[in-house]
Amino acid sequence: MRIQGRELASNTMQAAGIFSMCWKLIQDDVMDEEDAELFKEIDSWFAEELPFPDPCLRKENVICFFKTENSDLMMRMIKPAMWLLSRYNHPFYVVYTNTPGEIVYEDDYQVAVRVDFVPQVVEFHHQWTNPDGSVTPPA
Amino acid sequence: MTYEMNRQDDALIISVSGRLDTNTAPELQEVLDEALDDVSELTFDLDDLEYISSAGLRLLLVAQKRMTKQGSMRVCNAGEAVSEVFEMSGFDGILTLE
Repeated sequence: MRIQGRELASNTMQAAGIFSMCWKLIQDDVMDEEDAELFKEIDSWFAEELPFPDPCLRKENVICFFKTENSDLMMRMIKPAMWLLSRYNHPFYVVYTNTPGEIVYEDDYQVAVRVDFVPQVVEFHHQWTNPDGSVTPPA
Repeated sequence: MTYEMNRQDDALIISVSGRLDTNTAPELQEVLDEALDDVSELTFDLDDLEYISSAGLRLLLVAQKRMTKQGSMRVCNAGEAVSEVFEMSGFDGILTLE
């Protein structure tokens, strides 16, 4: 499970994660001081409680996902950060996947996956419902 | 914001009233930093708290993080407005509310 935004991170070209989005709001002086201090307190909890993935330390092209089986506490602690994003009308998505990618780091709570794939564009059927009301399945 | 503290052995009850925001939270934070030494049961009584902002939430989070290591913490009697902030912000999943 990963909470990410619409914007792409320049290093990975993947959707930026929730911590990056909040830090960007702080760096851009969008988030006011007391909200920023609250976020920093949340961020420090994660820094204290979760191992920092080695590939992230080495600034490799990876993104991280929370493991769903151990995500209860993580989700409870991350919710205030989601609330802060909402306060500043910053869109985010909660993404679940069965194929995160090539796992290059793993601990009890998270995995880091390599993101060196090239995005593919696939044509889909332009209209699912015909004028007579019948439904055309995608090719 | 006003506060009242009652200490009994290793239990501390802090009753907070008024507004807990960016103007008032630092004062209470300073008091808490010292008052929590040797406390293993911390209770915030928010019966008369009218408003809480992010600064107040941060104060509670700091206290919760500390009390997780040295004992327990609960938050009691939050009124409708404060409870709504806890719910919206997700703090209802972090704090022990009674």
